[in-house]
Amino acid sequence: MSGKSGSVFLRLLRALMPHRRYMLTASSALVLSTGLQLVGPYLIKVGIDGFMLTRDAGGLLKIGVWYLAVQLGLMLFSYLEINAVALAAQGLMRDFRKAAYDHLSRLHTAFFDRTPAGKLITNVTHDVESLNELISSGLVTILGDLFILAGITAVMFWMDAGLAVLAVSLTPLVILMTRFFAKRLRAAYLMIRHQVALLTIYIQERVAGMRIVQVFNRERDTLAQHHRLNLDHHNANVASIRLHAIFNPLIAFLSTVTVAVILWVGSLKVISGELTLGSLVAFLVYVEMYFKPIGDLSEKFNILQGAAASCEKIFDLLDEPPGILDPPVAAAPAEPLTVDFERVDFAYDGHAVLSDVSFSVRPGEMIAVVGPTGAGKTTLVNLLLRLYDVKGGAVRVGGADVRHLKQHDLRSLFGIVSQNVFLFSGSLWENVTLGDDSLDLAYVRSCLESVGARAFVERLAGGSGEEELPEEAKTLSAGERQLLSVARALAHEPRILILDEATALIDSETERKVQETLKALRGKVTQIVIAHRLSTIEEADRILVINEGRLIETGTHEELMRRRGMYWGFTQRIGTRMA
Amino acid sequence: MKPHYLFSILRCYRRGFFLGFLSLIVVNLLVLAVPMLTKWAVDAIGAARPPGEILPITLAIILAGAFMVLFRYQWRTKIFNTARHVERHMRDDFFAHLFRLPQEFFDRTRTGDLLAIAMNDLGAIRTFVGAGVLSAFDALLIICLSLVMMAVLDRQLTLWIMIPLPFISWSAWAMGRRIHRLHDRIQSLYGDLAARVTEDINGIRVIKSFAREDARRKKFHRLCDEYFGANMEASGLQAVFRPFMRFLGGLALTILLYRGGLDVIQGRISFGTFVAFTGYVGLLSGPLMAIGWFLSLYERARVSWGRVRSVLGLPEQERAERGAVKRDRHSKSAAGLKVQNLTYTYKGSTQPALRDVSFSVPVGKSLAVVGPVGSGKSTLLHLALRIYDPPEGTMYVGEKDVRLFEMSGLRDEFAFVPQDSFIFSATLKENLAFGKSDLKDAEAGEFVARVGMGHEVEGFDKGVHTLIGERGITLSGGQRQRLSLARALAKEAPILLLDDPFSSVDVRTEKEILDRLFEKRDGRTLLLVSQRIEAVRRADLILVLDEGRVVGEGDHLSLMRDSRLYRDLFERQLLHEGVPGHVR
Repeated sequence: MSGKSGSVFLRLLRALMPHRRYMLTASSALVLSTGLQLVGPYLIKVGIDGFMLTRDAGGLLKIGVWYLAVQLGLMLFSYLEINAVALAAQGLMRDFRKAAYDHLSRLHTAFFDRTPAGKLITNVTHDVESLNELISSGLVTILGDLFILAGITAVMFWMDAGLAVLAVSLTPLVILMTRFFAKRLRAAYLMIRHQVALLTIYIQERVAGMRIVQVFNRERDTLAQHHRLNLDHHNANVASIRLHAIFNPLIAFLSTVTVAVILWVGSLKVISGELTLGSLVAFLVYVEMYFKPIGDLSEKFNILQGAAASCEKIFDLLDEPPGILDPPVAAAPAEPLTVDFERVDFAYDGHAVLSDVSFSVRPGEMIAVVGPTGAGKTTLVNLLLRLYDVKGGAVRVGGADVRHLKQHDLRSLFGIVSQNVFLFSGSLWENVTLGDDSLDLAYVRSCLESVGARAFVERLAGGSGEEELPEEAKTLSAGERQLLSVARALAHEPRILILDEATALIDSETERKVQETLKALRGKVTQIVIAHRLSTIEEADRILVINEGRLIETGTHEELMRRRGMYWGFTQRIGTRMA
Repeated sequence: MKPHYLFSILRCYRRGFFLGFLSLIVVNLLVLAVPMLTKWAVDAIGAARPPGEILPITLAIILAGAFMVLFRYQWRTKIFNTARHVERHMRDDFFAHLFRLPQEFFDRTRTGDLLAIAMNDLGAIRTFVGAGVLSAFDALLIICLSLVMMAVLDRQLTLWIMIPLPFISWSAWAMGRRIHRLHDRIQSLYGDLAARVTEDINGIRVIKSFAREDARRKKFHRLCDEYFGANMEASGLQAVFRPFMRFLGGLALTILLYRGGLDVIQGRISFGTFVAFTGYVGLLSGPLMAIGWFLSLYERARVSWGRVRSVLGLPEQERAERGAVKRDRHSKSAAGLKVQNLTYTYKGSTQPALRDVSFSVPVGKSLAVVGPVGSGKSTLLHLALRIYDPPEGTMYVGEKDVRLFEMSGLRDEFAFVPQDSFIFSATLKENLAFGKSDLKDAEAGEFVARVGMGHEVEGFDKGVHTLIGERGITLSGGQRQRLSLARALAKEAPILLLDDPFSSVDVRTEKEILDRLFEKRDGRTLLLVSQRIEAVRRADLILVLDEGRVVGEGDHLSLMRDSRLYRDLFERQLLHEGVPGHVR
């Protein structure tokens, strides 16, 4: 093992510490059952030499009882072992799964921007699942195998050193062969994993983009491409099957050869009186037992290696620095709940997004933010919610720097409607409450009605809202999703409401209903609205005009129109939307 | 799906299976010969024969071993490769079947679940068909042949050794029942686990913004605990069953040791026979242990097969050409669209999404569809494309009922820009080539320019050959929309369907694109859904929908005059537009 996988192994052992009781139980049970396995053939030898050949029926019965007792013991210890291993393995998996998930929910938003979701999902599901193999087929069995190999070797040498040397004489050859095949198998498995990934991604994407494939009549190409990837995947697997088909029978052959040699040399020894017949029979059984774990050892090391790779990926995820941390001693946002940007700078991937932006919002004020695409409007919101940290200056809410607040406390103040609406599977109700069970159905319905979403609430399951929405609520129209998202923001009774192009897909008529509701909140709830539509912008107490990361103008609609600056230019050019 | 789909596939590969199982039988016969050869050797020793007689026996064992290598290679490659072929074949079928299913199926099915079927469930079936059936066959063969060999050696002792056998079938039966229920539960819990992680990662911004981490975490932890419990229950079952099966093997050996020992003492059997018996009973232990493994493979495969069947068994959407005239698919027609008394209700919905809608768009004309949220605008486009099937006799393309079209023929008539601009992770050109497979680089550049993206694409490293999507560069919402439009334009179909294609595009670019769209259409028919007056007012005919009904029809000026809803929809936009038609 390389240094890195060595340290992975150490870390894994540390993670296993809480489950050491089970690991200990498993190992002791394993040692005991292995010992009993070794006793079996010896009892047969005693039965043959001591009683059969001396015609002692009473002694034979005694040996029979002993043999039965050994079998019962084996059953008991195996039972203990399997249970203890499962408790340790499943317990470890549960720990890792929870830890990985918890860590993910703490990670910085920027991490999710640069990491494909599919990779993270695999970490929490598949990679954790492969730990099961690591513990049950890997660690414990390898331990058991090594133990039984040592035990058999010892017993054989104790019984007859000469025969024992013959029995283990092919072991170096076995080791050489194992190394030879293990290297090739590893390459074959890598190839398989690569092909599995390609095939999975392809199927996933084409199923998600099914409609496009269909309406563009690309079914035939898509099926042909799938067929090719499927075949590559098949061929990769066939390569590993072939390797196993050569390796495993060869190991079995070495075992047969050893049995034949022992039989030949052993019988000479029996004839010359150096060895008892019972010992020869026991030897033959031991040799069979000796080769069985050796044949599996290369396979098990492969499982171990695959699982170690998965394990490493999980550790990499857990090692990812959270990026944004809660302060050790948290401040509390004080009243009045103002919002202040003080000379804020922000850069993303080395590109300056905001520079030297300063403004203040009084509680209850409605602010409109306008500017062309890419001006940095959404970034303002991200900094306010501390989804990212400023590079310079400070963002204050209620007088406190957002970095001095607990993220949970900070974000609880806000209600946000983003550009892209994300819906969870689950009922309409759950999508509004987001798991806050204190919000009852009647309240949720009133929220939906207040944004004019009543019609579609009724359409869904006669207004009960309990109907399950499938993944991303595919049956809702884009406008309906936006309305749902507005209702969601309102339901959590925010002190500060942020609408980021929340009505781009809603018709003016429905938008009017939304705006009436928002108007009723004027003075009570601070509103920060990013919008393209003039009808929304005009209503604001103040308008911030952002361009290329800088705050260009602020003022009321009338003031800005009088100033004949950038804002005026926008309204002249397009009227309906700023862009 | 044919009633015996799985068998029909297995039949395709029967040659491989046949050869594989044949080789397995040969291997087993050789394996069974070894204890017999050992008996001869031991008896020869017992009878104090010259060692020279033992040597050929040991050589025979080595020879048998060499043949075993050959035939083991055969059965391994034949059976396992063939099982892989079965899996591959089924995956091709499954994937192809998905493309023929109606959209309603996808509305209620998670992509992740379908992926799990395509990869995990088909894998479980393959493991059963290969390793599972093999181990069962092998176990049966070894057990039967060992019993036969033992019976040949000594019938009475064989009967004694068979005493534990009934317990095997009894415990296998008891185990099978319990494990089925558990596997079902474990697999569905794992699916839930995966679905939840997927969702929470994709929705991480919402969760963070609303500070809902704790609630989501609690739910996930609860799922983890349930999954742990179910797995422990399953391993508890294995912990009883597997050692018990091994014990039954040990019991047989105990019986042999005592009973067979007595027989040796009484001289009923030779010592060599006793040794051969230990060999044969020893051979039984492997297959006995394999029974538990086989059962769990079988149950897993059964659950998986149920899930595969639940998809493969679904009826396909009607795709074949029906009715009279077959049109020449290669001459692009200039088709109009006619809708007659169309009422459509989504499956599972109580109220119709469209009610008694009638209109027609003559060849080469443009139609805009407007209306409030949820009024049925997108539904109209989806029905024309037969993403959902409209009732027969309600929609006509070029005077032919869309339901009578051959599916791909119908879709050749349309180019579509959906509301959600789905772009594949491939090169930009490959995405455009979705519309036209023999697309040249220059043409690709042209289409990109037509949607106002020429400048941006020039900035990309490899121009139109730049990778986009998860493995390439990330496009903004507006870029995706415009690319989706370019893809549709590249298709050069007679009817262009646009579903709110400019919601993320800035207005100046929108104007430029619209100018080109409306002016240089080469006689193509255009259907457009939009919230933007800029696009709508250019249309020859505008249809106003409300709650699925047509409540207004006409051009911009007449609707401004006659339709209250139309005025409400656009008045506020118009206030600042200075667009003609604003009447007070």
